[in-house]
Amino acid sequence: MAERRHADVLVIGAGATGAIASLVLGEAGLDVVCLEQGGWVQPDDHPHYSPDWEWQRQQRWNANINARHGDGDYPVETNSSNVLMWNAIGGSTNVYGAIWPRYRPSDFKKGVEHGLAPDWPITYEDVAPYYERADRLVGVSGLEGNPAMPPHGPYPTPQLPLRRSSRRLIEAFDRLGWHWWPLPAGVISEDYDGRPACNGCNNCSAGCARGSMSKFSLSVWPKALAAGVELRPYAQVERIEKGRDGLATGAVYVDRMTGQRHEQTADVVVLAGNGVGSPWLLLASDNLANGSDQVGRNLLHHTLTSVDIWVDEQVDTHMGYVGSLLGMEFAETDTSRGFVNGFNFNCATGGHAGWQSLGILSQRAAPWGADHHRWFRERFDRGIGVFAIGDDLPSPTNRITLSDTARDDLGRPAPALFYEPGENDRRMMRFQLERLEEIARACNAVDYQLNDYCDEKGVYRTPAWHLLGTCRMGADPEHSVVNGVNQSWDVPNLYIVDGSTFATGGVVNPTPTVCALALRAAENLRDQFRERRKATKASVA
Amino acid sequence: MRTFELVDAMLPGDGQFPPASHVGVHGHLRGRLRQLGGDALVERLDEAMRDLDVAGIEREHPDLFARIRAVVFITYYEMPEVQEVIRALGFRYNATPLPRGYPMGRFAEADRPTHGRGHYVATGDVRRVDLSGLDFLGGKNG
Ligand SMILES: Cc1cc2nc3c(=O)[nH]c(=O)nc-3n(C[C@H](O)[C@H](O)[C@H](O)COP(=O)(O)OP(=O)(O)OC[C@H]3O[C@@H](n4cnc5c(N)ncnc54)[C@H](O)[C@@H]3O)c2cc1C
Repeated sequence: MAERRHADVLVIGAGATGAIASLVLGEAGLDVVCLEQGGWVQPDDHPHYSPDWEWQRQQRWNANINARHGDGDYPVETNSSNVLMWNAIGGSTNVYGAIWPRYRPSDFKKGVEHGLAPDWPITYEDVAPYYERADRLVGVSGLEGNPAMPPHGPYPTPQLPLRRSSRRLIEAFDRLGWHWWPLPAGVISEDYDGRPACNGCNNCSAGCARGSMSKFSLSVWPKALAAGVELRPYAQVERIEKGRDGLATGAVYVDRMTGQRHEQTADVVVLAGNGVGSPWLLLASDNLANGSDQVGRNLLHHTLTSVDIWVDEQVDTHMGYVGSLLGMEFAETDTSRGFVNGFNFNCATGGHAGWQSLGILSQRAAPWGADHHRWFRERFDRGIGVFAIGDDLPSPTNRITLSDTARDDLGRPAPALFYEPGENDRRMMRFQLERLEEIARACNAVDYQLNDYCDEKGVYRTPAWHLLGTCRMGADPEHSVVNGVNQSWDVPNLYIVDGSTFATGGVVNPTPTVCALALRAAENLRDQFRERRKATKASVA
Repeated sequence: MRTFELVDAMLPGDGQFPPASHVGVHGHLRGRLRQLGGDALVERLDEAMRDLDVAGIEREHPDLFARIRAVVFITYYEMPEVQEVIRALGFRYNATPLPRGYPMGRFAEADRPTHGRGHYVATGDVRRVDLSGLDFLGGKNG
């Protein structure tokens, strides 16, 4: 096994959070090596310039890791969820939707609020300054002044324009007397930081070939590389190594181009593999950092339901950035609804002719036969999509474990994912569906189709684009994997900086918070680096 | 049934829209199904086409049918002749999403919401909620 030079910091994973951590630590003058199991995704690799762009989205641009077999991928055994992620430089930002809302103060205090989920060891106020700084780094658009959120400064670029679908929804929300606000997006509305403004191509579900939607290989990584970070693609980490003193010493990885094993040693290891990859690697490293038995547990995806609404006028379905509005009328707990926690509406409308004919969110396809062409004339460009996304309660049995049967390319047990919504989550989803129906009616829909994401046997098969909770942070080592600055309780020179550290899921898409917390953790590590190098378990407690 | 008959039964054309086989959809069917599910899926197609019409495939093999439909619909709307019809119907429709895109202008200040609705609970104001009506929780999530 070949050994490489000793580094100050080893970062595992070059996705959203690995990019941010590498940048912060690299700019501080530390010697940073980042290992990523996938390669670069070049702008031309995206299907946006190809006549078969909609087909590629079904196939090699499918976000479902089990439906595509890309260079950096591994199999995930799953009882239910469609596991969505992308394994390459930039990670899942190669395919994400960049809907960019922040968490709210009560999201961090569910322990106080009802005790069915823990409090975070930090508050909204601890995270707030990092939201603004992460937004500037990532490149975000939005409109400040939302009364459903604590006040904050302006976004780096102005709000994206409203489309006709947004106006139709605004009328509906106003009719219902419900909150709505233009959607913040990790998409730039003006040229920013060397990248061009969004030109509304609407193929956002296959990522962004221009980098207008912040794809971290085009937004954050160039800065990290300029700061001297060494990024090694096709380097799949097999295990994190631990010394006799209980500290991490580095990692063994396989160069996927040559098949050779290497060891990369470092003073500090930063794990950024996402809510599946990180717990998988810890479990595969002899159950590392798992004195709490919480590694892999408490997997959160969010509750999810949706509606496709068809109206009697053209609404720019296939034009413009996919996201349009947020609705936070039901974001706080109100137990008179029959459940705890809240949810948010994401108005997301998109898809070209093929996708529209297959039913974008509801998967209710157009008829085949003679009626198809009539359907197209009446329905094309008249569809509007709305998701309801809510705060699912953590459950220790929703978890990542090592599979007994499935193996990855290296012959290791693959991760096995088990997820099943609890009764509170199911009640919330029933309530969401009723509200989505109200929205459809208030839009004067000519037709609508709800989606509860359950198959014919009633199994909830969510598109799991949010992978959270599996290395949760907390206030004590018995019930959590990392502390409030993302440092492992058990292995003090190991930091976990991805979304797996979330204690609860909040009512919105997580990536602004994922990025803000990664920035916070990396800056903390940077500031404490010399002390942390010598840290001992005793100093954490 | 042969593949051109299958795709034309699904998308027969109507005077303005061409039948699917006229734009070559049938030529992609086997190849694309193979990409989705390997040779086994193509064999299932061939077997189904031997015995059943489209309605029969939809009824007897719904999972296979869903994949056939995905291939047929997506392939059809990829074809330049079909996109020409979409444009002739008055829609803006690009042959590929980029480079042109669909520029939508800038956000209009007049669109800034004035409804004043929306609230949040501040950190210091988060209080215990009354769970007495939620017996199903029994101290945990179901
Ligand atoms: C289809 C889709 C749509 C989404 N839409 C939104 C949205 O609209 N809004 C939003 O907020 N969020 C969205 N998300 C979620 C968002 O992409 C993630 O929250 C974000 O990318 C998480 O960052 P991360 O660094 O934790 O993980 P990732 O970005 O997934 O990166 C993890 C990286 O680590 C690498 N890695 C893992 N294990 C190893 C190993 N052993 N060795 C080497 N490398 C390793 C992986 O290859 C990967 O590149 C979406 C996600 C998907 C898939």
